[in-house]
Amino acid sequence: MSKLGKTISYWRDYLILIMALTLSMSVLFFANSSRQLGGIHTVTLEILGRLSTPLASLRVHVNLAEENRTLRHQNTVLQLKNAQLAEAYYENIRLRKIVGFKTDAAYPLMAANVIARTNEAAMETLVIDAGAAQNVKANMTVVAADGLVGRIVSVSPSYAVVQTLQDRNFRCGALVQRSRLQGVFQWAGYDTGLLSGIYLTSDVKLGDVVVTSGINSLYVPGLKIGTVIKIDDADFGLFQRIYIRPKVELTSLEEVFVIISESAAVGTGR
Amino acid sequence: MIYLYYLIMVGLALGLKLGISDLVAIKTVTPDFVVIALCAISMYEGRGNGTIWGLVTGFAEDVLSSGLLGAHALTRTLVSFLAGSIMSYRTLQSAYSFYASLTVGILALFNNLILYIIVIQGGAGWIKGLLMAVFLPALYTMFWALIIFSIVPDAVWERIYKHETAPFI
Repeated sequence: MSKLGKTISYWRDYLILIMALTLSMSVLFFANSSRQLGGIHTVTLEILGRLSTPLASLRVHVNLAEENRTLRHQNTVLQLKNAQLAEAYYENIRLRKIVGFKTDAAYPLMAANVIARTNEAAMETLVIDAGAAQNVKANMTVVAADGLVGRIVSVSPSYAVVQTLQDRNFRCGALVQRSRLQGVFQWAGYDTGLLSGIYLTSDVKLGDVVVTSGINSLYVPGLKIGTVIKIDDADFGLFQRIYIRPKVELTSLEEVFVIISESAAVGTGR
Repeated sequence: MIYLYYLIMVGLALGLKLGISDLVAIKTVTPDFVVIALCAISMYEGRGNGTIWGLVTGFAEDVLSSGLLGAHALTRTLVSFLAGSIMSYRTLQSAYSFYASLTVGILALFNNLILYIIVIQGGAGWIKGLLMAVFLPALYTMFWALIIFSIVPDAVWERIYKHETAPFI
């Protein structure tokens, strides 16, 4: 064997490592905005979605009896609440007419099943069985009965990926419903989120409900995010650290709704 | 033939991770079956070939998980290289399964840490984030590695690898 051959053979493993690292880093830094690789994502999302659908229905059947019991109880509670709300609704219409308010636009909803969930090293996404064929686009808001779930970041013809509010890169404009103070919501880890940008002197109390503010235009205003569970006002300069417990339980989420809005941008949001 | 076993191992690990890992999740902490599979491959194949398996598997994972392309390819490459450097296939045998699992846990920690650094673009509560996204998943992965390495009999590993001694180390 020649001297060069021996040298290459001796350093073979390190050469492979260097080439593999160069390749993966090139893909990481340069390929994520490429349209063709976006196409690969779309195809694989479609395949993965089809493979995950039977698993998703299996998950649904496992908890069916318990879920039925809970839903019956919730149904009764909601029937009672609905009666009260109907009264308030008509009263609201009457009062709005008196003060000349415009009526809020209703948001069209597209129901979808959660067929897969990824959570690792701070990436928290859901795959749902609604895609471009159902008019779902990137950046559309996704909600559940309890409130905000996240936004669409990637779409294939029949499936879509949702970046949930538990993703570490998730941000959204939020406000405290009672005092109308505005801040930015982001995930803080484990089971709490953080509302930042609220001054030390501002009026926030434990148990206050936090909703989307609609300021960054990605999320429709008024969607429930969660409730304030802890307020840390020491040693953080001008601002309070307000910890939020989200209303939506993502680990047991089986069905979500996509708010179909024409203003959502086309393309990947990540 | 051995590559077929590797493909099955990697395919199974990816299927478990992307398909049903949330069924065995504790809160948001899930095991990383791919690290376990790649360690098992690199132990026998050595760091050179193990690195190639890591790169290909990581890239497949990036594409399948609709995440950041190249992130898993990078971390899996490094983990496979390290696994091939510090472990031999003998550590898979039942008498050494704890050491093998411990190494898998440390490599999973390394994998999660790099992924965390790549993915996170600032944010609140980084200590809690490190705990939930890096340390606890690594610990849980180590637990699953211990179960897998303890349950799978030595005869199966012998059958997969078919050699008395590994070609590397």
